[in-house]
Amino acid sequence: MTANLRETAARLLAEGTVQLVLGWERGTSPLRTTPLFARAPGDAERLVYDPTCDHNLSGYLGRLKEGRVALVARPCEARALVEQVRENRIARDRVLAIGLPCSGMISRRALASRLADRVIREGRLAGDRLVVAGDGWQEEFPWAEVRDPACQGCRLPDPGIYWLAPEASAPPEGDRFARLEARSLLSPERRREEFRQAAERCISCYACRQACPLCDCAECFTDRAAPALLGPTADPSEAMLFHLVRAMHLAGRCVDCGACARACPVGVDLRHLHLALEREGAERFDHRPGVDPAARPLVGSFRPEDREEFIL
Amino acid sequence: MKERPAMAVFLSCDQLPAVLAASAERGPTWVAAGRGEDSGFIPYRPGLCLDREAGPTRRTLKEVFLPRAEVLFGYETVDGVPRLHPAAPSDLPRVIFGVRPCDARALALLDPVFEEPPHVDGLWAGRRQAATLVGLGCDRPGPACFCPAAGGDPLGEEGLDVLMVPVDGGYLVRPLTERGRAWTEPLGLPPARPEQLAAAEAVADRARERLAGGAPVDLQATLASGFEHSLWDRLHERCLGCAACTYLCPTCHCFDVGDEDGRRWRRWDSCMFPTFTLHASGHNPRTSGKERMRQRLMHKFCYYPERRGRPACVGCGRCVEICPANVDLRSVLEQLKGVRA
Amino acid sequence: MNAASATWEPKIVAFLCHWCSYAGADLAGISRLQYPPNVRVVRVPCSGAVNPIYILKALQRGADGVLVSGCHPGDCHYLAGNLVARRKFALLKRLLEQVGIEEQRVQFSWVSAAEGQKFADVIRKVVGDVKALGPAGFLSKAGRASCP
Ligand code: SF4
Ligand code: SF4
Ligand code: SF4
Ligand code: SF4
Ligand code: SF4
Ligand code: FES
Repeated sequence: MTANLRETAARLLAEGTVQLVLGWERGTSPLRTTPLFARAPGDAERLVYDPTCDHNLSGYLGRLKEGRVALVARPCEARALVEQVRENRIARDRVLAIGLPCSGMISRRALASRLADRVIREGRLAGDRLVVAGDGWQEEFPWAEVRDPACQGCRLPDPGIYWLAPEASAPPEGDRFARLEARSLLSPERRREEFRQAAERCISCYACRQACPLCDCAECFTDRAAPALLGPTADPSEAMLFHLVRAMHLAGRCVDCGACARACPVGVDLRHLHLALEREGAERFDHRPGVDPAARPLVGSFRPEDREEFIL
Repeated sequence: MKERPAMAVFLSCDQLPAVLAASAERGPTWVAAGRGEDSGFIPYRPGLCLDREAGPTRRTLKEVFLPRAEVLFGYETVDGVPRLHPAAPSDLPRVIFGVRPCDARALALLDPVFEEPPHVDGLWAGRRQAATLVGLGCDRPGPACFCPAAGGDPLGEEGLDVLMVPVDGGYLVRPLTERGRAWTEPLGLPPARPEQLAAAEAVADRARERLAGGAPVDLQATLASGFEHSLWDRLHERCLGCAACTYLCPTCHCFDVGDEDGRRWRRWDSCMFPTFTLHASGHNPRTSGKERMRQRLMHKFCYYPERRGRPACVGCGRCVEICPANVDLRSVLEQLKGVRA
Repeated sequence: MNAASATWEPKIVAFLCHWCSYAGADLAGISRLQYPPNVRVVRVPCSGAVNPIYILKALQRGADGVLVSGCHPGDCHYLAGNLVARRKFALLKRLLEQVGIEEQRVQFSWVSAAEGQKFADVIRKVVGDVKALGPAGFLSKAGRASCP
C-alpha cells in the first residue's frame, strides 16, 4: 500500500498534475508520524501510511499556497474535505484526494493507559502486532487492542470526494453512537463533575482548536477583544464556555476524526459533546456531516416541520 | 547561597509519607504527582506521595510561580477618587517536593526576568522567596529529555535547595542551601552510607548515558545572522499555531493583561498565537506562522542568550513530546544550524 | 442542591425578541398581570440573533436560569429567524444535557405581542422551575462581582 502511495505521489508530482502532496512521514518519537509536504518527486519516498498516521491533514489545506495539491486521505480526511468544500473553504478541483483504506488508528492514550504510563523508548508495528519496549521491558500485542475507541463504527462509505478511491477495507465494526449509550447512564452530577474536571485540566492552549480541520475561522470567538467573550481569568468556567461554544460551532460539521482529543497535551477528550450533537443532527434533522458537499448546513437552515416540542 | 557541602542523609521509602506529612504541618507543601499527561504539582493532601515510576511531570513548576492567570491589582473609584489595591501573593507554597532539575533550573533562568531591578515583580519574588525546592534527580529521564545538551544534568543542582537521588529502597538527600538545611535537619535522618553514595553516582551515570545525544542549543551567532534565511519559510509548515509548546515550556513566560470586574489580571499568552502581536489598529507585524515560530526560536536561542548569557531552554523535552504535529525541537535546532548567513 | 436560604430568589435572564415577545411582556405590564419579578429582560432584534454564547455567558455571570422567547413560527419579522433559532436551541439542549446542566435552566418560548397572559405564565413557570432547582452555580464564575 505504501509503495503504491509513493509511486502515485511521485508520478503526480513529476507530471506536474499537482504541486504538492500532503501526507505523513515517520516522526521523531516512537509511534509518531508527522505531516509531510512533498514538493519534489523524490520527497514521495518518505511517505508512510499505517495506524500511527493519526493527525488530520485536511486542516492544512486552507493555508497552502500551491494551486493544486494531492491529499493523502483516510476516511477522516475525506469527510473533513467534504465539509471544507461544502463551506467553500476549499475549491473542490484544487484537491486530489488519494483515498486510503483504514482499519482504525492507534490511540496513544489507550496505549499509555495499557502500559500504565511507563516510558516508551521504542515502538514499531509488525503486521497486526505492536511491539513496544522501555527500560528493561518489552511487550507485544495486536495493535487493535489499543485502537482509538472513536474508530469503532467508522463511516467509510465513499463520500464521493475521492480522486482515487481507496481499496476496500474493514472498518472496525460497531455502532458509532455506542459511546454515548454508555454515557446515558451517568447522572447529571457525574456529568457536571466530569466536565468540571476537564475544564480544570484544560490550560487553554487551543491545540484542540488548531488541530481541528474545521476550526478554521479567520477570527475565533476566543480571540475577540471587543466585546471579549471569554474573560481574562483562569476560572474553569472560561474553559467550559470555550468547549461548549466550540461544540456548538462544530454542530453538523464535526466529522469525528479525533484530532482535537489527540492534540490535547493534558488529556482532555470531549468528543462526546460533538458526538451528541452529531446524533441529534442525524435523528432530529436527518443531517450527516462529511457525506454530501452540497448539503445545507445543520445550523443556519431549517425545515418548517422541525419538531419544537421543547418550546413553551 | 551554597557554602559548606552538607552531609547527605538517607530517606527510606517507608519514611517518605511521614516526611511529607511533617513538611505539610510546617507549611503548605506541594508535591509532584500523577503520571503521563495528567501530572503536575498539587497541594499535599494525606495519602499523596511521589510516584517512583513516574517520569517528569507534564505540567511544569512554572505554573506555581507564574499561575495561568492571577490578579495584579484591584481598582475602584470611591467618591470620585480612584483607588488601587495591589494584590499580594496568596496561598504560597513553602515547600515543593519532587522538583526535577530542569524545572528548578528554568526558575533560576527566569529570576532575572522578574526580579532584575528596578522592575521587581512582587508576586513572583514573593513566591520565590517563600519556597524551598526539594528536588528529585532523574533516574529515568523521559523519552525526549535532553538536559545535558542544554547545559543541565539529570542530577543538576541549580535552583534547588535540596536534591534527592533515588537509590535502592529510598533516596539520598543532600541539602544544597541554608534553606535546604533548615528543611532537612529537623527530619533527623541518618547519614547516608558509602554504598548509597556510590549507588547515587551510578544512577547519575546511567541517566547521563540515556541522555547522550540531544540538540545543538548554542545557536546564538548562527541565528543572529540567519533571520532572513529561506529555511524559515518551510520550518513552520507543520506547526498548527497552538500554545501547547509554550504553555508547557518551563521557561516560556509571556503574558497578557486584561480587566474584569475591577481587577487587572495577568494571564499566560503565547507568541504562537496571531493575537499576540495584533495591534489595536488591526495591523499585525507577524503575519504568519513563519514569523511566529521564528520568534519563539529566536527568543529562546538568540535574544535570550544575548541578554542573559544562556539559551532559554533547559532541555526538558516537553515541547517535543506534546506537539500535536510532532514538530521536534531537537531536529528543528539541527536544521537551524544551516541558517548561518 | 437546595436554595441557600429561604429568601433566595433566582435570577432569570430573558432574551426577548423586539417584535413579539418584548411587546408581549409590555402588554403583560400594561394589563397589570402579576408575574414574579425575577426576570432581567434583554431585548434582542430576533430570537435568531441569540447566539448560544449569550445564554452561556449569562449563566457564567450569575444568572440561575435563561429564557429565550421569540415570535411564533410564521410571525418572525425576519421571516425565519425563529426557525433557525429553533434548531440551534434543540442542539444546545442536547449539549447542556451532556454536561449535566438541568434542562429547566434554559428554556424557550414563542410569545406574540398579543399574548400578555402567556408571557406571565411562561415567566411563572420558568421562575418556579429554576427555584426548584436552586442556584445555578455550576457554570458560574467563582468570585465574580455579584450583579444586582
Ligand atoms: S471537533 Fe475534533 S473530532 Fe470533530 S472534526 Fe474537529 S478535530 Fe475532528
Ligand atoms: S471554536 Fe468556533 S470560532 Fe473558534 S475556530 Fe472553532 S468554529 Fe471557529
Ligand atoms: S488542547 Fe486540551 S488543554 Fe489545550 S485548549 Fe484544548 S482541551 Fe484545553
Ligand atoms: S506545540 Fe507544535 S503545533 Fe503547537 S505551536 Fe508548538 S510547534 Fe506548533
Ligand atoms: S523549549 Fe522545549 S525542551 Fe526547551 S525548556 Fe521549553 S519545553 Fe523544554
Ligand atoms: S423577529 Fe421575533 S423571532 Fe424573529
